[in-house]
Amino acid sequence: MAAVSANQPRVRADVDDPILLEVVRNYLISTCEEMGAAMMRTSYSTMFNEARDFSCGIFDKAGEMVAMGDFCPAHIGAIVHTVEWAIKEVGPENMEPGDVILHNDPYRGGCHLPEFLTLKPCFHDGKVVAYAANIAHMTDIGGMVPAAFGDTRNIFQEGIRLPPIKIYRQDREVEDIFNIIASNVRTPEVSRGDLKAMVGSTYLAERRVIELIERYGVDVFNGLAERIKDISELLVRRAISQMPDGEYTAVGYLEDDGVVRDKRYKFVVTVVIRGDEIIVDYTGSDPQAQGAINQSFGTTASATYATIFHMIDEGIAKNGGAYRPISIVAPPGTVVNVNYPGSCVGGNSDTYPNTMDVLFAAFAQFSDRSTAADGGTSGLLGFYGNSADSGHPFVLLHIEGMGWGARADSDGNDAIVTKNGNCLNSPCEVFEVRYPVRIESYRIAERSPGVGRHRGGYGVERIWRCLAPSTVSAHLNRLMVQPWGIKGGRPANNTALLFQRASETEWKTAHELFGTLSSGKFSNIQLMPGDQILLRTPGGGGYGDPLDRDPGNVRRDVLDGLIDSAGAADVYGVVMDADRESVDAEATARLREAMADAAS
Amino acid sequence: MKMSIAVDTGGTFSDLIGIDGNGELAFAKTLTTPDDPSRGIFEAIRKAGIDARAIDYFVHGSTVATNMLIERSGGRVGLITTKGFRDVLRIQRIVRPDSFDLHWVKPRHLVERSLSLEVTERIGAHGEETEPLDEDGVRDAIATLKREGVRAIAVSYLFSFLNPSHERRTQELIEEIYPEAHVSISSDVFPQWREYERTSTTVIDVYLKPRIDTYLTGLERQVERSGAGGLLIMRSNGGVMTTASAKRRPVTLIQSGPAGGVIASLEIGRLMGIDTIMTADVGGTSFDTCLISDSAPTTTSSTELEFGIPIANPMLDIRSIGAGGGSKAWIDSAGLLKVGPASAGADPGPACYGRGGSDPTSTDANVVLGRIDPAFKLGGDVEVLREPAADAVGKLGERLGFERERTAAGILEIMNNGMAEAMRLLTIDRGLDPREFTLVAFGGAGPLHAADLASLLGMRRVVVPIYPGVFSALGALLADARFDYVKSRITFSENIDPDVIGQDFAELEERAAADFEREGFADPPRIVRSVDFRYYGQNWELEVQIPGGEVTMQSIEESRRRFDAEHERQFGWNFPESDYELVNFRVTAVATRSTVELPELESGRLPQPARMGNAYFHDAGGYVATPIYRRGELLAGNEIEGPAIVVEDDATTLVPPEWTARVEGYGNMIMELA
Repeated sequence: MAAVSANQPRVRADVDDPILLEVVRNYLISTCEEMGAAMMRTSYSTMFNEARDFSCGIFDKAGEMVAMGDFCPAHIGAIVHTVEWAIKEVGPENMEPGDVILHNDPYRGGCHLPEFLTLKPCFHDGKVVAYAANIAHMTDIGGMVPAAFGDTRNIFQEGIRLPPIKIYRQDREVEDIFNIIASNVRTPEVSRGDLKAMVGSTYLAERRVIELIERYGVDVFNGLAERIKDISELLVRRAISQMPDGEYTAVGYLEDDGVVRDKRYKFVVTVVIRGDEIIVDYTGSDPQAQGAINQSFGTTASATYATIFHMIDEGIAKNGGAYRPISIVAPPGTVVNVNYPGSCVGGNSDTYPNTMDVLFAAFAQFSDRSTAADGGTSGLLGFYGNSADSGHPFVLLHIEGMGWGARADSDGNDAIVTKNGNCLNSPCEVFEVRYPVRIESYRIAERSPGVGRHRGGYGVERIWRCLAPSTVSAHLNRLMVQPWGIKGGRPANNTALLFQRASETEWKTAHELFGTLSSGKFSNIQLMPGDQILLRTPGGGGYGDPLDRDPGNVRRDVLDGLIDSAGAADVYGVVMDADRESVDAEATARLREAMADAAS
Repeated sequence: MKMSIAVDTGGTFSDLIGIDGNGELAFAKTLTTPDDPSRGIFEAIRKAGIDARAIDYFVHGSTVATNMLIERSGGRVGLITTKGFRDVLRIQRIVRPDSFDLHWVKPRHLVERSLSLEVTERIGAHGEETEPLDEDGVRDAIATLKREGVRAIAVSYLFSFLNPSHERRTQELIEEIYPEAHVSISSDVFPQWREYERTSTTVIDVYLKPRIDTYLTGLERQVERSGAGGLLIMRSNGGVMTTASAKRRPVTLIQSGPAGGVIASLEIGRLMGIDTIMTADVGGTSFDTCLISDSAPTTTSSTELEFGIPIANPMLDIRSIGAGGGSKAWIDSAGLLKVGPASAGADPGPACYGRGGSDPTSTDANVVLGRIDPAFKLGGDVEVLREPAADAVGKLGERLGFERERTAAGILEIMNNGMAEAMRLLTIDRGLDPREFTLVAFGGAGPLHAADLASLLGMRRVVVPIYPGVFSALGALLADARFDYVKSRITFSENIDPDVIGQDFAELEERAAADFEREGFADPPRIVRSVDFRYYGQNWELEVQIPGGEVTMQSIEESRRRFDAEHERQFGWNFPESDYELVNFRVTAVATRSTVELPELESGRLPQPARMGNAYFHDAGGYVATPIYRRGELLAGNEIEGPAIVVEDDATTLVPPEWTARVEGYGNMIMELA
């Protein structure tokens, strides 16, 4: 893709034309979606094409995001910082047509090591006029834990770290770089295929951006990019100014870093609403942990932006302008801004949703749009062994759904991945064909959510049986801290991760059975044929007083077999008729009154 | 004189096209009668002046199944499934449609949890039985569903696509114990891996069964009573089938309506020697587009009932967005002009109908710009008024600070760009370049937007076919009988046994032969075999053809090379030295059904325009005198230079400046950029 000649624009266009603005804005968003479609079609790994754990964006020449596709929220904050960093470090003056830059360093604006950024400067008339960027989760990146998530203690145990470097020059692969990466990961062909898919999508974007510039001219493109961002900024400011000024502080705890036994880590957030701006200040949060739970600044920024975008109108186009009214204070050396060489791979998986939950608690102090805590774990289990079908080594990162927190307007959703991701689960049949396991059951985890006027969503329970030796690593959350309710809603049940040896009948924790320090965060335990694993994810926290719950909704849960009649009476004060089909309204009113009296 | 007809029952209109043995054509458009669609059908037959007793070929395309799903108007469904997996329909795939929407509510599937019943049994990942079917458990489950009065039962067990014996035995038990119940088993409906998608589709199939059965049985009776014969039903894959097949597998009726337009494009393309086509069907509320590559429409195996509720069913890959003649223009909170997806519908309709609609629509924009001329009625009987259209567009323009023409042009520009993006995404999903395609535009508004769409995508040729307003019905009239068969057997490259694959194909082809015999064909169908390949570790497959006859390592190798080449073409890279997997084995069976031949148009000199209009073209700097021709007066060989407008009863074609239109031998108009 050589630089393009300096033709005059083909179409007379005006920066102040709002119709052109709308056309170009949609064009750029579609281009990001097309990048995603191309990625899905051409990539190798399940993380890309089944789990869709990647994000695509177009940036202007100053490195500010102009458009994004349907983003994986984990990337939304990090991508702006990581692109900014990569541009600064390489320097636009050192970029040439046909370059592609690769970068995954969490201390340079990234989120955590598995997220690889490819960045392609787009050239017109010999100058950089825009950037196409793609950030995606690589399943294996070397290091001590297959698929990266376990009980690492520093960045060197986590895997290969790359500063911003060129992996394509003059439209050709820089073979040496590919070879270095291939030599440092467990499944080199997968990495190679995925990197090519990422690069391919940036080429597609460059072509589309240059076509646009040839049509309307570079000045019009630049001017429209500014306006596109300004509009999002305006809308975000307008939404913030509808929030009441003030400072709202919430505190939440994250359990267990996998390295220090039974320690909890404090997260403090103060949301400051001042006119049309928000400052989110994490001052007071604990010093960084020894284990992998720390967030890089990029991860903290993502969690902050994602929460705020959840709180305001979802129709606002996310781009650089949308970020402008938001400031973040995250003291270095703490759990929300890890210093080199602190471990941080789990910061972007299970710490991130916990941080969002704390932020939501702060917003709940003045807003009805907020939510109780989610189940809050991504259910990450890393499997490593030999494939059932080919006998080749495999690395599998398992992701599981959990229950959403209840909301002011409705129950939490059942079985959805944490809010920092939006990845599909693996079908049981795909599991069994590919990997030497049998899924014994995959069910809704009954009694998992917190009750309330609205209850949390349900988590799930899955049981695997190993058919061949393989190792398992884990990085889970909420085995100790319960997903909390708000406004009188009750907490949900904890995560459970249990094992049963083939020769035994008892379920035990990893600590009990394998002597790991932590039962939720550990690496490389060895399982043998016949051994079983049980993972139960939490439901979401409840919202409001359970005695205010609509009896019709209680009835529905009884009919669905999610709660029995006794439970309906004990928890919600709802009395079902003997046939269990309908609610006894009078008896319910009496019982609820008695329960309310007893509570006060 | 024998008559062949097709009636496409859409959401608003029922379209009929008929042709007799002399090539004489008949048309009618009537309002759809949702309470009993057959009333609209027979009204259309009457309106077209057709004697029902002469009809011996009668294709019906229907939205009944689609509407039932959208409205969720079917009855309760039960599910019998493998122990441990009753919640597969509730868990779904754990994703959400918008990454930042805190208030989204996950759609529920069609089966209540208490009607999702587990049975002890297990088939392993290689098709082996690892636990026998607990028949007592099955009997208990059936008894429970019977007690609950559930009339539709889906059966879906893990790995039944490799070994259907447990599902088949369960079906026998249902038929024995509860013969009134409708049953669908997943190994029949969608024998492929991924238990959620398979179960979901099976549930949807059986959910449709009771009412589709009643509807089609009633229609059969009425057709018989009227003296007509030869009733066939349009399928989602673009083929036709008997009502018996439709009742057996109603999920194959879903989205069969838009398939007709694609089949008609394919057939028109075949007459004209064009094999690489993108379709643009612009109706009142929606825009549908599909690709035809090398004379084959691209297909997909999945659509959704709602977000996260898949319907896996071989169908044409038709993409829709909410853009059409009735799409309303509005201004968002940031002051930007938007078009759609809200539509003014048929009532009150666009402002230019003068029925009280005050929001400007894209039709109003076309009226303002002189592209729809008030001197001609829309659809033959709707009066077009310029003044309310101009008012509505003008008022919107005032809020934007634009004059009326610029506003109207802006509305069309935004709508056209939205449609173009949908088309572009469709080509990118297949690794194709839109510039290599011919655009075939139909639907009431398709020919009006076609040239602009083509320009946006860099396409140089547009075909406005005959009868663009009833084009879907024309497709139904021309469609073949077409059935698809698939067997999943995930096979790693080192473990390939050609004999096993040969048996799989033989099994599928036996099923095809039996089905076509049942459909009334004396001869066996034409068979096309294909295999879904992927490199080891990939999760997407590419379908490539494999020769008929004996399956050998050589024929598999040949297909493998085809796969490598296709991978390179679509994705820009391939990996010939890699291990690979065969995933699905497919057979498509086709037999010619229709004997309809389209009449040729006589040639002659270009007629005089019906009148001179005045149409606005932004690039030309304003209004330009524009001749308006009647389509019905044009003859083969006529050439028209843009700007020009061609009107017919239910469609208007715009030939912009720098475009020319030529009428070919069957009356189709070919527009090209000069």
